[in-house]
Amino acid sequence: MDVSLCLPPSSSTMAGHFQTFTSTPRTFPKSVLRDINGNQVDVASLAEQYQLIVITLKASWCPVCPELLKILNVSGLRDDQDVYVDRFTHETTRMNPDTKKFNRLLLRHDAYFLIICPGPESELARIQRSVPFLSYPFICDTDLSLASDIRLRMSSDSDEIWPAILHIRPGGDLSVRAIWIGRVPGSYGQDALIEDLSTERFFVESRGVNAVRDAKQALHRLKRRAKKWERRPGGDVITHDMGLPHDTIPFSPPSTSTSTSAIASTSSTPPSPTAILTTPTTQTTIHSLPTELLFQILSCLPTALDTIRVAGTSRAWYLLACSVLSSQLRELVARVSPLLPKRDGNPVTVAQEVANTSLERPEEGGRPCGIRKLEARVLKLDETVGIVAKWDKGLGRRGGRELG
Amino acid sequence: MTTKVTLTSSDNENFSVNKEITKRSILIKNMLEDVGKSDTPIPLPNVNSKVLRKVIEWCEYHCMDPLAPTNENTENQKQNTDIEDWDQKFIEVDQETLFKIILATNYLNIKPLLDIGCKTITNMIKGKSPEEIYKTFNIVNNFTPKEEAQIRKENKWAEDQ
Repeated sequence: MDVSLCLPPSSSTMAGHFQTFTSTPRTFPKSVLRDINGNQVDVASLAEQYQLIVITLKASWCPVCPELLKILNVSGLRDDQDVYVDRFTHETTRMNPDTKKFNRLLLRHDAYFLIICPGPESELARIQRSVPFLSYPFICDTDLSLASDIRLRMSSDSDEIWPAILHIRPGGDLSVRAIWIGRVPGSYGQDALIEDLSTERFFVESRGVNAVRDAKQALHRLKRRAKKWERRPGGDVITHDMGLPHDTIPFSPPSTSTSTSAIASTSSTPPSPTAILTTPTTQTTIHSLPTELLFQILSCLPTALDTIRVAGTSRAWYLLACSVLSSQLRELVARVSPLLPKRDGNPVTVAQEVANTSLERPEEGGRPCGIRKLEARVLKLDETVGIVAKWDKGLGRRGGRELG
Repeated sequence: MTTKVTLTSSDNENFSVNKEITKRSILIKNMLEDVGKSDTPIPLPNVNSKVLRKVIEWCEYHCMDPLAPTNENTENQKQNTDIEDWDQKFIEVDQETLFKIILATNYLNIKPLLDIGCKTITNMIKGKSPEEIYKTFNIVNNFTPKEEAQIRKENKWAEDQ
């Protein structure tokens, strides 16, 4: 058994090449593959949903390569295996329950694995069963075209692949980043993989903690802004003129909610709905809509930027825009905050503190929340907070005093 | 045999409608449950015949739709202003009728149609400057000149995006 061939060039006299080898720009060539069971594997979609990890096996006969898969099972993929005995070094690894709990989140919910190996398919199927590693697709790279494209074919006349752990980034070009290249008994790259996945999770969580903190500050500023605009420069609280055309007597909707039209009628009692409906000259306008419907309409605007753009329409719209932005921020915080790490039941509020595997990571609907889902929510919150912060900067101190 | 219900509009026009179709309206559904097996027409004093006809047309077309979307679907749908082709055609009405349909569906509690109406207005607003919105909806700018100057200043960056 020639296990030395699993070593990357760095371990031989080619030490200077190692850096180049791991940092070689790579792109995954196909967005859709077929696994050895004939199932379609949508690489692009998986990369959007997970930290998509490619594990290459040197050859189906290699006894070292499947050990990595066994270690991943013990590390967190399988609950029924907690001890790993290295068949080459005889070293025993026992998983600490806390570490395993965190690894489980990383390996099962954040990551997804694609295993690529030269054929034959029957041998790959045997490895998949014997490890076992049945939840993830095994791709048979018979002609080594995949290996060539990701620059991991050992040589042009070789039928072997460099054993490696790679990460496929989401996005159109499916760029590939090397996490670990090479595999020898006792050194399988699992620590590098766990560290890589942890780093990504800590990064997203810390960004989430900061975004929630910034959102709370933004909410406070929006509240102050709305309070200021609720008053006329003279100090009267605005409860009447909501930007309604002055010659219009609108239909008062039948709901019990407050309508902007009802608010707008300053001098006389609004006519009853029946009276209005029988008056042919009565116009139903946008301000006939109850406030909650105008709120719903502005809430449907695709971005916070769109909401801010329409805020300058009238005083009522300005206040509604503040209200919509506040509501959206609260909603986004409510989607991010419960998923952030907790210590003793309390949310972590300092971003640097998330880099701790023993913190409690809350679940959602009875399932841990994968990194991509959390990331999407954090990005949306971050984007909205950023736009509201820009609005504040646009206002500036001088402007604030002018209207205060 | 299909059970019919009679709905009476504010201008006293009667509409005989399949009972199942009227259940798209939570208000009517609850009323029907309250009155039991009565043949008494259901008065809808806040909806005129023109608008009621449109609402019934929508309910008939969508009678097979599931009644409520799941929470998972609604999470990202709020800010999605896409409207299906048929609904888009259906809601191509003058502004006053559009507002009346929205008010009627709010009253009748037909959330999917209310959403379509609101999204239609959102699409009319989207990308427009305040001046264009004044014109589109006949809104009076009730900011003082000083306030307006202030708003322009603080929103300038947003207009430039």
